Amino acid sequence: MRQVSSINRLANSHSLMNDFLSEFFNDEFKPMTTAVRKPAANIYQTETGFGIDILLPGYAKEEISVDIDGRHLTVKSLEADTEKQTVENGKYIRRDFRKSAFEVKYILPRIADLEKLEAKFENGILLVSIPKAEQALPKKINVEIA
Amino acid sequence: MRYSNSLLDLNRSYQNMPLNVLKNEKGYVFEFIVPGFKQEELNVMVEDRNLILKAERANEEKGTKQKYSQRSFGFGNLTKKLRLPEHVDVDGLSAKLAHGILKVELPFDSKKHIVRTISIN
Repeated sequence: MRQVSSINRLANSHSLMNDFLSEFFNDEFKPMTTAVRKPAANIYQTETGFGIDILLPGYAKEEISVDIDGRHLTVKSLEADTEKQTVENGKYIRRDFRKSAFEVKYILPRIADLEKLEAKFENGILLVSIPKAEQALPKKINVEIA
Repeated sequence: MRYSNSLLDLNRSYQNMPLNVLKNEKGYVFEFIVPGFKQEELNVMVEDRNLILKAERANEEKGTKQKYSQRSFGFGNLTKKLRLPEHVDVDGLSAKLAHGILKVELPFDSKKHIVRTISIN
C-alpha cells in the first residue's frame, strides 16, 4: 500500500533532480501526471455535520482507501490497474464505462470533528460523514425571565 | 424518438445511461450502472423482445435537511429499454447486483443461434 503523500515525497528528496529521478525510476512514486479520474461527488452540510457522497460503482470496499492527513482527506483506489479484474470470458461489444484508478482530495473545514469521521460503502456509493465539533454547534440557552 | 434495433446501437441521445455489453460463448452480459439502488428496488423484465430495467427508489428522502455545495449526481429513478436480437433465450435471463452494477445475463437460444464456418473453395 502506498501511504506516502506527495508532500512527504518532496520533503524526502534532496534535490529536484533526485525527485525527478525517483519519479522516473521508482515504481513506488508514480508521477503526479498519472491520468487519474475524479469521481462524481455530492458534498453537503447538515445542521450537525458534513457529508461527501462519492460515486464508485463497481468497486469493492477493499479496493478503496480513505486517509486523513491533517485536514486533508484523500480517497483513492488501491489497485492502480483494475483493468485485469474486469476482463471476463468474452469480449465487449459495447463499453461505455470501465473501472479505472481514481484519486480525489478534499480540505475539510476547521469546524469538522475529524476524530469522528466515518466512511461507509453502500451499493457503489462511498458515504463519508464528518460531524461538526461540539463548540461549533448552535447553542440554545433558555433565559429565565425574572 | 428513434428506435434502436440492435444491441450495438450507439445512439447516445436515446441511450443516455452508460451500458456495457459483453458477448461470450454462452450469450450476452449487460452491465448497468445503478449506484445507490438496493436489489429490491430494481426490476428487470422482458416485454416483446425488449429488455426493460426499472430502478425505483423506495424512499427518496434522506431524513435531515441537506445544503449542497456540490452536486454531481442525483438519486432519481431510472428506466432503460433495450431491443433484444432474435437469437437469445429470454427464459434464461438472470440478473445479479454487486457494488452498484447490475449484471444481466442472457444466454443464446441454441436453436436460433447458429454459428457456421464456411469453407472457401
